[in-house]
Amino acid sequence: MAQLTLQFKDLALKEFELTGQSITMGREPDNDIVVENLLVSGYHARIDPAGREYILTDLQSKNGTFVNGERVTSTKLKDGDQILVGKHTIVFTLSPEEIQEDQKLTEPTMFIEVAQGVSETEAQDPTPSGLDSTAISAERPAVLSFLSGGGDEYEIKKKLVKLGKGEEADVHIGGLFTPKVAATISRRPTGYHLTPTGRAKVKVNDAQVGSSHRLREFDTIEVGPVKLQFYYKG
Amino acid sequence: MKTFSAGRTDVGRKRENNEDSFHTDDQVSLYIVADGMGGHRAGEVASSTVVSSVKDYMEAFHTSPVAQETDESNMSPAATAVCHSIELANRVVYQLSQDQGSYKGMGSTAAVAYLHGDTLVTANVGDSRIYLVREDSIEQLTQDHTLFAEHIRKNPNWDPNSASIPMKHILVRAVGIHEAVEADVYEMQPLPGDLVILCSDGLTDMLSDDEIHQAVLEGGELEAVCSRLVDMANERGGLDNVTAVVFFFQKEEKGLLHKLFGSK
Repeated sequence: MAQLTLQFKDLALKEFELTGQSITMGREPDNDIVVENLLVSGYHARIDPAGREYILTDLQSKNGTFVNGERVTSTKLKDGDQILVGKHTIVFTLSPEEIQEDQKLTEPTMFIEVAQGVSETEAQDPTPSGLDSTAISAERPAVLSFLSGGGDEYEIKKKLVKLGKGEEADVHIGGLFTPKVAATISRRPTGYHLTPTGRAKVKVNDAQVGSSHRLREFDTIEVGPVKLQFYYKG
Repeated sequence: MKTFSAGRTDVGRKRENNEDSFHTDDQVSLYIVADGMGGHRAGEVASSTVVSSVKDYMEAFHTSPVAQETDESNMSPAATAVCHSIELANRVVYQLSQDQGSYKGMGSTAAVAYLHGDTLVTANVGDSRIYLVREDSIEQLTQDHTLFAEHIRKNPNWDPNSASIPMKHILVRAVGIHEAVEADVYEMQPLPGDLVILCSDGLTDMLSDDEIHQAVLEGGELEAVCSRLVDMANERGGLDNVTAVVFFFQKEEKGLLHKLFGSK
């Protein structure tokens, strides 16, 4: 949590916690931080949250607002900034957690050596328990099982599986009106996606698929005379 | 299917030099974004080397798309070629870093998209991302290779507010750091009207997926979309170099009249 400390010379007068709200400082009593000094304007400056950060804005005060000795109209506050209004100093500090967050954003990209087996999550760490089965990545092997009109089952090993009558098709689908490729199934980080090529009607769970459909376990896919069921292996 | 694109890179508000590089080519339908790292000018050298190596390899493949020597039976030749192009880039950057003292430890991310026939191949190493915008959805087609992302993948129930925050900017995979690298590769069937975004983390650290999606939906020329994305990241603080490449798919005219009278 960000904190403001009102100081006069070396004396800390008041501490104030910023909890995501806007605050004002000035001489008038209805300011959040009241600074009783004639050099301070009635409403001298304000601090507004912007995402995880705070922006200081001078409210066109007579004698100005200074951050670390420089006059500012509006500036983003950093940990340790000293805001001077009149003769009072307001120190802006961040909690250690916030500083860490801040560093995360300003640090240059670095590379780290990670021992094998720690970094290769997807290959060695099967689906953790408690994870929504529809949200998992395509690393989980899946199969298409023929409910009617074809063979036994097809294991999806390729990144892109083509369904149709043509030679390039991985899953062969007969039928007079079946195009060379009627639909494709692509394995992606977000799961398995079925996309009709637009040359034939493709249904999932009896409803026609428009542009594309992310497959869920036990979905039934209908292409021409063939009905397939999608499920995860093992 | 044909593609049309625009791309823009910007140094941002805080950095002194731009270590991002990108490439767009609508004839080859090849799009690359690379975000370099390393001291002095090494980051720039790393990312531009990645772009030129991938470009050279893929242009050669595009001219004569021969089957690739490979053990991978689960990928099309085009996807294998993209894999190989990143492996080549890795060797070139790694060699440079070994040969020249000032380049020691340099590396880069790589995000590559290549359309071959009716198949879109996407591949990445590091934390540069590729998104697919299709109708009313936005989908990340890549996985970040960062400590942060790995931690989340392994701990799906992890509370982001808990004390230990794994650093977001620490890569666990990068091009040019080791003798070999493995890219994540995916293939999909694009549809006319689909739009793809390649970007460096300077964009995604500043903007959420939804904000990126909204900025794209505002429409306009592709150049304007790129500028809008880069400007938004800068307005948010521009903490890092920002690169955005945007391309979209259009159906190729294949009618008889077009064949007879078309320009190509």
